Amino acid sequence: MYPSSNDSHDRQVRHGRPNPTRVEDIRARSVRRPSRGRTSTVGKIASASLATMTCVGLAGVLAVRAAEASTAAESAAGASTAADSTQSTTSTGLTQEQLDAYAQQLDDEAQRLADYRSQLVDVAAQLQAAAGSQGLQVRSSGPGASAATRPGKPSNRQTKPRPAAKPSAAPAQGKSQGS
Amino acid sequence: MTRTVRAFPAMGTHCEVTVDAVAGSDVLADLAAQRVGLLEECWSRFRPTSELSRLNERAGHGPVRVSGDLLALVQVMHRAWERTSGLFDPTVLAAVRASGYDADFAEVIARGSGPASIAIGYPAEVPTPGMAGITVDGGTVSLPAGVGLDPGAIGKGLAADLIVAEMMAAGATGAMVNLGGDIRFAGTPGSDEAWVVSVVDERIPVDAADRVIRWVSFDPGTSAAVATSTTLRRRWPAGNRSTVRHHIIDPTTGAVADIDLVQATVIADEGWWAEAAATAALLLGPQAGPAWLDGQGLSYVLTDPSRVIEPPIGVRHD
Repeated sequence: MYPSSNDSHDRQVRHGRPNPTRVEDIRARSVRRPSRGRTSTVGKIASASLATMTCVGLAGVLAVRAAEASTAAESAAGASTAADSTQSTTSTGLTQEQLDAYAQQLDDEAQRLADYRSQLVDVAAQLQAAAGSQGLQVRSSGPGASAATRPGKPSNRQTKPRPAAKPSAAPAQGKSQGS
Repeated sequence: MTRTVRAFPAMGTHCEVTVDAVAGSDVLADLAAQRVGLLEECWSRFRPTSELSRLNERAGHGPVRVSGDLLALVQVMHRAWERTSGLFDPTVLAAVRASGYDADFAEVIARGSGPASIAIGYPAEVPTPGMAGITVDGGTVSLPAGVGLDPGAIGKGLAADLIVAEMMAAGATGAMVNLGGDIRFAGTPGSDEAWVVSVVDERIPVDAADRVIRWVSFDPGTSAAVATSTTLRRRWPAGNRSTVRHHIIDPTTGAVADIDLVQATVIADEGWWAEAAATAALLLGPQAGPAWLDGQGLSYVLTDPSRVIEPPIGVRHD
């Protein structure tokens, strides 16, 4: 069950190319909300494609369910009523309402993260200004380009810890306990 | 120069952030605390609405587009699994749940025992499939059917990594983030002080006056991480309460691990790697564990019930 080499991650990435038509692009759906006004052209295209796919898929589901619910004697109006009363589902078994709620949640979380980053940028600017007025230099690489999506690869470089005596006053101190 | 320390509960544990800056360290520390909350919201397996829980729910249903934070978590899970040859296995979710750790730990303790489905006195053996079948492609993640991810402590390690990086990128001169004992720091604290980390001996009762087994200091400007994994914490009674379980799962059996070491503390460049390596060392035991850590070039303090095992810190791997 163990991987035999360190390149299996790369293999996974290469071999795992999904069929783009199957991607459950909830985030893309969330960013196409017109009220937000943050949609790029590419996003619009992707959203439009997904919307089309969703409509087609939904129509298929509704058609099947409507057909199941209808008898031969039912009129077209009756079939339509049956379709309306059927809760639409996606390929994952989630209802459209659930997907919408999830999309909204992701949208909210993305907004909170954007707010956080915006505040971080503001603080960085203030620190630069404060340092400038004090004749100091602040190393700021810009929090907008945070490492959030680029976790570093561990190196074998060691961090040179030293055994230490119990400090009498150690203001920058951490306690590592079990987790 | 200003310093702010914020302590707060999050991620089911005690958290502390320390930020040094020429000014505004209080604002940065508040933002760091806020970021812990955002990451918990995204990664928690105990929140059914978290993005991770949603991803786990969709196992077997093809690729799911995920946020940058969740993608980062899955990527380091993959790396940790590979670098530990599968000993650190985040796909132990079903096994952890079956062992009784199926809710926030405070809730597990309050409940007083594991779920009734567990045979008394026996661990639940649930297959742990490993990360091999999990596909990451672009911004999407696909989980095979029946596979769930448990961020465990690697999430805390990575969270500490990300937050320290973000604080430093914003202009902090020094930052330390401690999430329940998973510590990451960078920069220089105060006026050229050293970073000092105390390693707690989990064998010593919590009400003892001094539980520190080692003090370790790091030069100013050092960026490093310290993480401790132990079988002596997050324990709960199971079944008829005569059995005590801990949260370390042996991925080769899917059972609660039967191991001789009780604690592993590892020092590494990054928090997620320190945590994964500590878990792997714990599972490898008192003979193979130190050899493996030596091979990785990592400093460590290991304990079994009766002794402390370590390379001379700062000598062997300096």
